[in-house]
Amino acid sequence: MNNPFNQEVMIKRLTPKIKKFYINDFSELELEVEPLRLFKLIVMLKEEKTLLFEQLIDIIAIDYPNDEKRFKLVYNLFSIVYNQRVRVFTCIDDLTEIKSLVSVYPNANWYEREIFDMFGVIFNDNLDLRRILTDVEFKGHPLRKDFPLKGTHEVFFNEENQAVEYRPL
Amino acid sequence: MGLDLDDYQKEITQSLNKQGFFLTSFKKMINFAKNNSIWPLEFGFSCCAVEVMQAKSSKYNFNKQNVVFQSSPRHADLIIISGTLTNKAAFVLRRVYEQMPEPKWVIAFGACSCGGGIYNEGYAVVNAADKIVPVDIYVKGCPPKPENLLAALEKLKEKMKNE
Repeated sequence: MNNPFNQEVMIKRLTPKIKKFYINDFSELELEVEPLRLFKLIVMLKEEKTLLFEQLIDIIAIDYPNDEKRFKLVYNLFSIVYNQRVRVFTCIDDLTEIKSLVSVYPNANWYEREIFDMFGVIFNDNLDLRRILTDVEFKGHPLRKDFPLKGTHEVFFNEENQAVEYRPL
Repeated sequence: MGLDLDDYQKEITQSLNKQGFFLTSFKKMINFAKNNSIWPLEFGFSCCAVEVMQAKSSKYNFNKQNVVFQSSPRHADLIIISGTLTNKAAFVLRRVYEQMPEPKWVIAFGACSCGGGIYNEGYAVVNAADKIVPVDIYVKGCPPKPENLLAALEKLKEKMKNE
């Protein structure tokens, strides 16, 4: 089949916008980018006629507690037209906020809510940034490496108040 | 009939055959009714719930033993908690339990609802269902078989008799 997608052209086109690039064992591109440039890069990857990465497969966060920029965010994109995958990643510390992708990919909402719930990364411009998996009054972010395995609070039935309540462990 | 009659039922039938009437106490009669029409509500979470579903199916036909599964807590007198009880579900469980009319009983089915099981140290899991509701019968196993549920129901009937 004649696939007009050309990886070398793509790398040349993207080089000024990114920090580093790698090509993995499946000859797919991995791009490292500054957190402030991430949004523009992803908009470009989606809308450029020669790229058309129209599908956001997943957003992943990884915690490296010893690094200064401890959270690594990985965005997996897929181009339906050219049958290509690309992985964009960026590193941030726990005080940095990052721009939300909801306006570009609507399905990013639930991924961002999951990452906010599990790691406490805050996404700017996401109007619906609530916890998605744990309960509403949950304290802490469970997938951070410094979170205790048993958690910090437990649920029990309080006989005095006749209500289900939290108490610290 | 396929059903085994218990001592009390035998006593009644004998008395009826001999005299045409029988004498009993009100308490005994109530217990007789409770014993022979258990209406459980299944409060299922994970793999243990599948075993309870099996109990409903044709192989272990529980309807034959006068156990009629209900879908509303307002019609049930027994709640079977099967599976891992999470923090989120604990609030729901308590609300459902309080909707049930008195008298009511609770079976904790499976290792997770008895004492946490393999998720004992999890951050989002209630270690034991008896932190939320009072439990009458604990069924061990991961997951237990439908036969174990049948055995638990027999134990519960004994408990009902002595109340």
